[in-house]
Amino acid sequence: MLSVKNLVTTFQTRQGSIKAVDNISFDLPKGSTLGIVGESGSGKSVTALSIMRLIPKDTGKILQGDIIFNGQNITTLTESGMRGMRGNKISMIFQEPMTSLNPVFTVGNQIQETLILHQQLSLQQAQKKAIELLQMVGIPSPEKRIKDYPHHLSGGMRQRVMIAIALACKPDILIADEPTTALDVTIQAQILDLLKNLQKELAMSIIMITHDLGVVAEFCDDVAVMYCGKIIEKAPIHQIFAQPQHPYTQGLIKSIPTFHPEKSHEQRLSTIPGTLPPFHEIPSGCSFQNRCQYAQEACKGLQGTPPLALAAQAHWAACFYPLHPKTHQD
Amino acid sequence: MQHPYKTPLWKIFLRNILTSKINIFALSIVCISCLIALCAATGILANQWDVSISDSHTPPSLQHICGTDILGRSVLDKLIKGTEVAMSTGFFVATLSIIIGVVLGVLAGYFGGIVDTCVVWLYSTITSIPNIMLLLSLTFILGKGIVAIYISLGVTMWVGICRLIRGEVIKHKNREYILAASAIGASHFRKLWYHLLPNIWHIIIIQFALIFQVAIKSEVMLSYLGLGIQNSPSWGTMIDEAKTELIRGIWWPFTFATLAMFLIVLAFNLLSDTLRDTLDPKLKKK
Amino acid sequence: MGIFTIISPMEKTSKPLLQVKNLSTAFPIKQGFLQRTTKKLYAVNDVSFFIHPGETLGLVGESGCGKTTLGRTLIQLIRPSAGKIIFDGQDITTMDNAQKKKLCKSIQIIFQDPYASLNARMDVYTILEEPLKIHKIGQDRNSRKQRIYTLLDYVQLPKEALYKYPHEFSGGQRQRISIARALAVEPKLMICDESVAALDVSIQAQVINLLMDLQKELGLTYLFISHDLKVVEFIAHRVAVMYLGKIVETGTTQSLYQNPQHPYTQALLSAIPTPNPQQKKNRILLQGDVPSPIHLPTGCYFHPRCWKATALCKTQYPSMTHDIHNPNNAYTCHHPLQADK
Repeated sequence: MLSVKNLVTTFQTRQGSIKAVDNISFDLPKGSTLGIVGESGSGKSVTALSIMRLIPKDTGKILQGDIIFNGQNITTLTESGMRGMRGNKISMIFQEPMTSLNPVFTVGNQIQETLILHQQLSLQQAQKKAIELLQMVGIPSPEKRIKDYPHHLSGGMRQRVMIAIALACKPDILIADEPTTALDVTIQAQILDLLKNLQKELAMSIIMITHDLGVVAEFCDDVAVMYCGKIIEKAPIHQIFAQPQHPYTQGLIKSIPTFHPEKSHEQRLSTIPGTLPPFHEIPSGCSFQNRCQYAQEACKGLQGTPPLALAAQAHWAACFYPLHPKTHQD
Repeated sequence: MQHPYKTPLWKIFLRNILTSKINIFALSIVCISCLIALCAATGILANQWDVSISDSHTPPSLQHICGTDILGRSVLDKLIKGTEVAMSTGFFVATLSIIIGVVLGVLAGYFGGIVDTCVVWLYSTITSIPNIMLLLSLTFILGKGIVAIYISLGVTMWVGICRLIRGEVIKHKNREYILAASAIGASHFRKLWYHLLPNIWHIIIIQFALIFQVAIKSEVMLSYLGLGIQNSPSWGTMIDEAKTELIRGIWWPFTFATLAMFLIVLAFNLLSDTLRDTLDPKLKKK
Repeated sequence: MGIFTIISPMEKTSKPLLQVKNLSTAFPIKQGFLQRTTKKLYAVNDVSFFIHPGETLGLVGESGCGKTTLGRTLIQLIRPSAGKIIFDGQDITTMDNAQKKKLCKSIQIIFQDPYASLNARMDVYTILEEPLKIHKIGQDRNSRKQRIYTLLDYVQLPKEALYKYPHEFSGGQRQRISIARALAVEPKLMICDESVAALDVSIQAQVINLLMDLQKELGLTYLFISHDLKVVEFIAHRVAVMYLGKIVETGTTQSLYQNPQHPYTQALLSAIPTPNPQQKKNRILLQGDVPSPIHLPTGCYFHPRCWKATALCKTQYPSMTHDIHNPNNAYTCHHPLQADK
């Protein structure tokens, strides 16, 4: 369905050019969900923007790599060809439901806009369709809501409207960039549930970008973990949570407080020491070496950057010393 | 990626100026004008401006670079004396209006309530009176003279900065760093002086430069209307006199006075743009 | 209603450090041409609780439930409209300004946003010296400097940090600076208002560990305000759940998480995504959004979203009831879930 190969996206800064996305590759089969996990600054949002070709032109550009969607290379499409793709075949929803809707237009207007643009519907048809879409995303009494402005709606409702707009043209791929981060837990549960149902209904693929491993565990089929612009681990979710290969993934999973019925208050959370290095200070070799408890001489750059290699079945890790390599598994 | 305060601000400012020729030009104009004004004020330059040195209306020549006026006085000396008037007007008016505007704006924004209502009422009232009428009536009351100009311009030009500062303070006072200062028991004075003011300082500096040149223009305008200073030359009175002279082909007093005003106003505008680029954190992420 | 006195299992003998009795904080809503106060918005509505010394009380709720207002009311950034706040045996609400300044030393707050809560134009030394100057701690510059070094040690920042500005630090390090500033005046009670919410997971864990270490080392008491139930479960001894300005359930962490009585608590707990793909749980999906606090529902505030609501819930707000099986826990519900068993 979608296949990203050796994608590199760079940004110009005063310290020189940085690779916000550094040579990443992944495949997204039809109807499946890929989670992209990482901390802030790991390059996960830039990946999404690169696929949408929405990288700000004055500072950033896709340096190399192919993004192949249904046999067509998106990176070579013209801007007008890309406009036909966005919102039609590939849609995106953002983190902030507050700012991603235009405050001066009604909710109905904003849904109709997409429909009229991509499907050449008449205004009446679009209006009817908009009501159907709002019904689909679970907004009560859509005939009335369609005349509301965004500020009349709560955060959860706005995110539902965003989903309605994104799904208006029944896209093949939905990219969700932290869609529930700004929402409360109970609303987050509603939205995730809604997305899951719609995915089944419309048979679309989803790329879920998030920092929350809990969301990934409940929502995705496969996970790619990003660190400093690189994918450092990629596996089906059951495997990654049971047997993480990369020390960073293990550290991330362990640092989430979990429910332990018998825990004592003497317990501490396990942590990853240090912080994410700024882009212009990424060490050569493995970018995680400074924070890794298992780091050895080989990680410090003499043998180059560890490539993303098969560490167990269908389980890729960019580490010279994976934690649960295949040979030890059985 | 560039950190806003890593390099000292004045260094960034200097770098911004020195990297562009037009900015170097602007800064040198301002510096030279300041120097001329100081020299004129201390009597080093142009202290003989009121002495007739040649015939009436001598055109520019090598001897008298800018020519002479109706009484045979050197136009160059008058220009230099006019620079003193212009620069001092700019400085005193900007200082006065900044003081009034910042004090009222900070108090209104920070304390809110009745203080805010009073200040907003005051500046709404002042803005509702046409500016020129207010200036005219003030100069009538205060009499003619340079001090009257300082005061009348100063008390009419603080409104814009007051409004700006009030808005900025309201924005900042609910920021968590101010709340955090309250939580450790900081007094109002401490919160205002050590926390709020450093964070709105850049606006004050930029406004100072802007008001400076507006004040110069206003002084010229008032002098042109005959409300300016009487016993010392100013660019405004020179332009005013040119009304009758131009017809007779006496172009030099008018041209040089206009040129001087144009240069100084342009220089200040360019500088305040550079200042804004350097100091305003919002513009930095370009 | 009234005050429910629950004895914490850890501190059976000690008196509570902080006792809040029927506290309400209301904001006037001005409407119309004349800006008359037509209604009041109760952000905190008749709330009572207590915290023992050395204990951590987790205050949980969704956005808009009044937890932040409650925290700010406790340190007197906002005036309460009714009720008492008794700290160390003294009622704060009736104090004059001089006494309040003294009080500031004992109650400190750490805010959510590590970027906004530090003054960008001050270096770390000035930030940390400020509370010492205000409260006249340390006679001279040298002794203050010693104290600042100790503070840096507490929060595990290097000495080189002193002459840097906030923007030169990462989010986690800035939060450490905020903690050090709060510790400077030797507080007894620390209010953590979503203090780790803005941080990345791995950094969040570092700061949580730091807070727990400091509690042990300095005997601090925490009011830990958060929307993240996982973090609260980890750090808190007791938990209070807020919904629309009221506490709907309170109890020891373990029993509340394992055996929630109020349907809202149960829904909240079931909504947390767990990082374990094997564990598929029965999720309770709540219908609709949190109602606006200006137009509160009649009866129990939760009834429009509650799957167990009856006619009684629509008319009468349930009173605080103690759990028969677990006297440390209390809830406000007509139909507690226990009745099912």
